[in-house]
Amino acid sequence: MKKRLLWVMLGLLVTSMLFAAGANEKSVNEQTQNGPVNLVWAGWSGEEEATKDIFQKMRSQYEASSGNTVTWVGWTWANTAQQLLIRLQGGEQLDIAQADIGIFNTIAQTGALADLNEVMGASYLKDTFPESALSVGNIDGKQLGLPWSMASITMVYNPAILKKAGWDKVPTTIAEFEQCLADVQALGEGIVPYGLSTKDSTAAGDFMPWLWTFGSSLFDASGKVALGPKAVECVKWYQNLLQKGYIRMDIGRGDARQLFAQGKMAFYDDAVVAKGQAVKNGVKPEDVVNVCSAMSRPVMHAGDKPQSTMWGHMLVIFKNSAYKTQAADFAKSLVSDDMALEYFEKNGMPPVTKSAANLQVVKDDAYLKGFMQSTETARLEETARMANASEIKAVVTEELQFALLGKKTAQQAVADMTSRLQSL
Amino acid sequence: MKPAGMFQRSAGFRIFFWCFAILIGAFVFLPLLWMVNTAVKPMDKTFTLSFFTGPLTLDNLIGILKNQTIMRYLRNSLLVSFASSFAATVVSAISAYSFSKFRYTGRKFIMGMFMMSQAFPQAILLLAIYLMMQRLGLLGSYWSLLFSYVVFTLPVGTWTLKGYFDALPDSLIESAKLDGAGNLTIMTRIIFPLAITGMTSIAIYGFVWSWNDLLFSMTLVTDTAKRTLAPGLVMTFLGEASTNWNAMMSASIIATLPVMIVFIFLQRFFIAGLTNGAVKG
Amino acid sequence: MARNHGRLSDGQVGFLLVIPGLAVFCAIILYPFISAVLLSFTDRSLLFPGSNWVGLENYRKLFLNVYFFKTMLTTLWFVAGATLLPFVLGFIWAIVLHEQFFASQALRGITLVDWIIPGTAIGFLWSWIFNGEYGILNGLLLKTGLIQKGVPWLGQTTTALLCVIISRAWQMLPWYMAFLLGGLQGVSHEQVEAARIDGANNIQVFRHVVLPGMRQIVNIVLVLGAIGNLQHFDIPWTMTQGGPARATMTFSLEVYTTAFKNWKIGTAATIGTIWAILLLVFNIVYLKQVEESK
Repeated sequence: MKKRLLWVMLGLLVTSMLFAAGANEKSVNEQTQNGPVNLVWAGWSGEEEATKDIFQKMRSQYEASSGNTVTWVGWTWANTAQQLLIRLQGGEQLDIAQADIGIFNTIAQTGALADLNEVMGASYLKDTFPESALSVGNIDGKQLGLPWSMASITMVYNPAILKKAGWDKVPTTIAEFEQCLADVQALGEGIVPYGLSTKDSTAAGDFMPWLWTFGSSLFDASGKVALGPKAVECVKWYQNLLQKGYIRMDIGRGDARQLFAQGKMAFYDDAVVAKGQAVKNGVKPEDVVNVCSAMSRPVMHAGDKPQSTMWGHMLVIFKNSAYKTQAADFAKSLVSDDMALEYFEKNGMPPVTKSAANLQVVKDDAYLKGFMQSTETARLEETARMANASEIKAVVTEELQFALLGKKTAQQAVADMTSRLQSL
Repeated sequence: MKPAGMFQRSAGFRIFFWCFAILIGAFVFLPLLWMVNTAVKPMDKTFTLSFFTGPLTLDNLIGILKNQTIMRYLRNSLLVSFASSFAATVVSAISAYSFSKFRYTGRKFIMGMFMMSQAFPQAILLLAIYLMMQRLGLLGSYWSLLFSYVVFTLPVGTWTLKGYFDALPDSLIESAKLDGAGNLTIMTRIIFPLAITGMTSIAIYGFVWSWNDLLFSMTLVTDTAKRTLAPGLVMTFLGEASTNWNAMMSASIIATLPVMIVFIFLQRFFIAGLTNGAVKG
Repeated sequence: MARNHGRLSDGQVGFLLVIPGLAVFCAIILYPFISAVLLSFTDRSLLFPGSNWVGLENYRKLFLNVYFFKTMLTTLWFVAGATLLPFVLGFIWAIVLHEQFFASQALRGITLVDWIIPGTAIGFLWSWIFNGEYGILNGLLLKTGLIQKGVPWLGQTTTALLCVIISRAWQMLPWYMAFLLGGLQGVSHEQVEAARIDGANNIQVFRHVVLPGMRQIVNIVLVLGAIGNLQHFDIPWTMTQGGPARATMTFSLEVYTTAFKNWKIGTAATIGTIWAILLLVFNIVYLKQVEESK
């Protein structure tokens, strides 16, 4: 009996020691405000193959010049929003984070972000960034997000394929577009004319600018659901394209990029990062523009404004961070001309500061030019300002798929979309 | 001449045997071969349909082996998985022994509860576990994962080993007690060794559970140095802007190799171990 | 089942032994489960730490949701298919491998590899095989002339779930095979001999000697397999995220989406609680069966 008790006590002792060891690990990381600090930087690009190295450089450069350290916490791009929220709930250290423009608002809604006007200085912001870029991160007068890279998601085409199909210029109206698609399809060779996204959240993302092109939108200015007969027309157009074989089911952004990079697709929607996949597939960076060029979205009637959505990465600093000033300095180093230039050259990320955007190298980049043209007229995705963006997009995608698969008429799908969005 | 198996080698049986051997064999092995195929293809040929024909390269595989980060993920996964495997086996074994050879109030209730370990969606448990671990200060270490994995393997673990222990005659324990052995000695020196095949099976089961886990490891362990393989693979190669199939397949293969080797050695134990106890129960 | 007479502390020993398991169980399952059930009565969102009590509102909304029952149905189809398919295939494979031939041991080992490849990698591999444009399956079918155009297997509601089931079956076949192979090894030779002497053929031997001898294992493997499939998340999520048009949206995906994409922890907890209740009923039935078969 005694021996058994002894074992149990020993077991409990060992267990509690191990617990303590685990707990101690955390306290060792605490620092004082006066010495060198450790910043926690969260996001996704520091994990990915293509950007890992430059993110490492961003950290070491700052570490060398400031004497502080930067710890990177990374997740997958798709999981970043959720993981940030979980981390915010838990209270783990979080100073600065990379936020996609699509999730920025969600994070902002939690009230966890610091006003950069205070942390970085309103005059610094005004001098460094163009107003259009700042407005993306401005909510109710507070600058909650710092624009880091900003461009647009627009249509991209393969000039080589178009030429083969007899098109030297890009189509500008929807009628021309359909004709072009028909010609591309006639080429055969397993080329998919248009890689419109028909699965996951990018389907909703691609749908919106087309919805705008048709004169409709998901919501009106007051936030009420505004899908009407024009939306039904748009969905009918989608169904038509599918029937003719111009678009396909089971195509997501990744599939489209892959097929396009292999020369098996004529058009699809993407942001500047499209360059990455092409380069991976063996195209030289300078030659990318010959196989992948940005174009304006075709319009309903000649003279209409071409539609595109804003895309970008932002930096946010957290209210509860104990090291906001250091985080602000770090952010400034990230958008500095040198760093921005390197980021641009290595990964094609367009710099957004007034000074960096004016660098000759940036201005002359043929590939970037096309995207920047669309950026000037780009709109924020309608869901970008909403906390339940994912949910809305999921509803839109699902109803769209119902219509495309012939399970519902365009009318029914839009009606259901409306009622579901209204009930959210 | 091969010894007569369970089934007579009639014509009908032969047809059945060969038909399915080929069909199921193809189902089981061809996708694996495709993975290997992709891993040894040059990047630009990834999506062609060539199956080991055409140019082959070891660059992808070597690239992964040289990739310090991936190798670190692999080491971390091996560490966590071995630890989970061990812990799961020990906890399942003592729990199963308790259920099998002892009687106390609440025994059946606790047994039932353990079986329910997989009843609730793990995604929901995750949030509460995260908050709890954070309060306990355990988020920086692997403890949260360890506890989680042990619990999720309890149903299979306790059920399998209980079957084993049930099959062991009580006389064994009685005579040991008459010889003056204490409970701990009986358990570790007599009972467990007789159930070694069962314990191996549970060890393997626990290992694979931990090895495959994505959600919990991604959420509960955020320190890059401690990152395990499953989330690591997804994060590195399935990026915002591009997907590197060759690297992903190569990494998956290399990741699986050490486990595979252990398996091929232990599979006899695993297969026998899952069922020996149960059959006689 | 002997009673340990004369040693009052044995019950205590038994209880002590089960404490570690019980401890982790309480920490990882019981406490989170209770807090989750409580959450199901609130409107808790992942965005804010606070929440309001809303009583049965979440439950009401859920039952009114047109897609709730469809999700349940999809889940049942998935569980049925993803349990029976690998079971049958695994059984046949086990029978094949049970006939000791030249490479059977090695093949057994290599089969297990399918099970240890990370689930996400399997999801991606099979997404690739089934892809509508550059998929391997389509490539083969096109080459052999069986089809004219690529079929979007994962892009249409009729085939998406089937494809997900096939992928999961590929992953789990080794697990079923292992159990069933062990079971086959445990079938009594004497009984088989006796049946043969009585003139039974292969099918009769299988039906009347082998299967009954393996009944317990078959039951266990089917039940554990079904419960595992109910939970299963990685493969459907990687392949389709529940699409297209909800064709592959099972309970586990729905819970995940509601909690981590729509931020509605309260609602997700509601779905989870309903699920747990259903499973509890199922488990009670199963445990009764285990008791009876002793």
